Amino acid sequence: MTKNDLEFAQRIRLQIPSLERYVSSRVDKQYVDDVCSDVIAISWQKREKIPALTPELETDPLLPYLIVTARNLVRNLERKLRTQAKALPDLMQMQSSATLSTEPKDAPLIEALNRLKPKDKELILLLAWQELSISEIASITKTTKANVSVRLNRARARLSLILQELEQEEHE
Amino acid sequence: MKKNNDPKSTLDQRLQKARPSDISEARASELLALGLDKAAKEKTKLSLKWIHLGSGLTAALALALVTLVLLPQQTLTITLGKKSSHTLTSSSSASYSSLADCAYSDFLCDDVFLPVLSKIEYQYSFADGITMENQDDHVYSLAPRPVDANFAQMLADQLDVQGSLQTTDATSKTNLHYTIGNGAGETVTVYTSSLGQSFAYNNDRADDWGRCHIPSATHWVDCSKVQYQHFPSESEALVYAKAFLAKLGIHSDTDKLKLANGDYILEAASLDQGDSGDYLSVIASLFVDGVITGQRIEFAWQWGSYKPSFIFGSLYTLHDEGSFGTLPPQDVLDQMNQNGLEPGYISGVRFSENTFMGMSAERRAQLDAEARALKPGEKISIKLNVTAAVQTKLGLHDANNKAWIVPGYNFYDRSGYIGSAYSLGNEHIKAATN
Repeated sequence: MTKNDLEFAQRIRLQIPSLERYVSSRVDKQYVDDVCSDVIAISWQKREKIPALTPELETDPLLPYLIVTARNLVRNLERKLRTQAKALPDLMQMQSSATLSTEPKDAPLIEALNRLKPKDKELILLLAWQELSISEIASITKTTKANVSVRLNRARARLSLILQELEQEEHE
Repeated sequence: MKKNNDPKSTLDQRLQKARPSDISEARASELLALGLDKAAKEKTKLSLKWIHLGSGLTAALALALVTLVLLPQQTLTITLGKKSSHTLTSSSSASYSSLADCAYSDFLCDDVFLPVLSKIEYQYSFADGITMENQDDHVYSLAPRPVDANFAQMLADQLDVQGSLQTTDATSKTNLHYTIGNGAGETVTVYTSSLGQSFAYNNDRADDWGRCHIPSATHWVDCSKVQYQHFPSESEALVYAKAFLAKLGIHSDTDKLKLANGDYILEAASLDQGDSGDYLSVIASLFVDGVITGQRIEFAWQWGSYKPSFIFGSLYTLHDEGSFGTLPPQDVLDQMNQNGLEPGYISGVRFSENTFMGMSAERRAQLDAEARALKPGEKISIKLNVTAAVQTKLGLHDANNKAWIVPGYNFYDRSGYIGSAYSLGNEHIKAATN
């Protein structure tokens, strides 16, 4: 391994918790290791093309790259399983989508997130859990910053609404 | 870079608090090791390999090798490489192609999501008494049609998506995207990647009516304001697809007799989705030498929406490279044995009950359990006796990402389809050392 390789491995290592958190929010537990390791393998193979981490950057541009790659792999997985499900109904149990664990402290919030449309949930979590900027999210989702902001506002409004409904149900 | 997630509201604070803790150092190290191990294996992987094209299955393809073939009148050079794992299947009208996604992510669309498949070793034999002579057959190359901002705008106009053009390059200069979105859930994306040029139209509003009729669903639109739109019949959808493709300069038809090489054949299919209503798709597949290839453009409609919910595909122009020697089926099967190839799996065909895809659910579950109990390096052996080999056309990408359509066989045993493999002579494609 060259010095550059070692440095890149360390860059990946530092981003793995964020990558794992993103993948876990998108796919069922049984696929997390496969997707994460594929993302790491792809980024390793393409390390020469990934922007360097320079001192003026506050965050490593590797993370958006990892998230973009993970999104594509998740989408492939979803399509693959959809087709397999048509041909093989018994494999339907291999659901691709993740239901966030209610283990964390705020069960109603997690339940509300799980009830959101997947795209809304993804946007909210990219911001809140991956700590990505609007600009980075726009880059990842291949849309504009304005579009991300609008969609985020709507998603947050829906989340608030569902939360209210849930908490009202609980109260009743 | 300023972060925009400063927790100001209660909701933000709750989201922050609900954020899962970072995984442990040990777990992160384990994932890194897994990823680097995969990267190392991909680098050294040799030999022929069956691959899955998107969600459907696929054909055989070769990992690596430079071949120069000199024929009396013409020369064919196909250089295969790792990316050749993206192949085109020969048939399967119902199979679903995500070539665009594969192309974008450069992800090897293989069996990582069904680990049991990598634990099965198939052994092929050819039924006694069957003879097939090999013969010359045509090889075609597929040249990517250029896509650019103008093309994106043309698509947006055609689909009545009004918005400004955005160019996004999230990763590298080889993955260039042009996107036009109307801010109301409709987006046209055109992108060029290392494997070609693709386009996609997504309409998030298309499933509103269906979702509003699922009692248990969370409705994020005001269902009282969602209007039912005429849901097209299969014939209307076919007309729509034909007109759409015509504007892209693609001739298509449902009738094979009206198609020339390089045209697209149209097929429609409906699916009852229960509470959320019908789903309708039209698949336009590249038609070559009378064979429906796996190179396709797909249209889909959701109940209650006249506009499609999505359209996506890749665009190529077909070039005839000439006629070249092929191998007889027995030789192709010998290669499959030497290289440990899996049968394929695609939807829309009746699979041999001896293959993973065709066997009973009970047998499949049993195999899965057996595979999990294996020690590293151990395999489960399954014997397949081929009783029929039908000539077909298969596709693959070479090391330079050029797409080819080459002669091949679809193999069957007495209970159904086993898989497909190309038959282009060894003098044209051979396993490489790297």
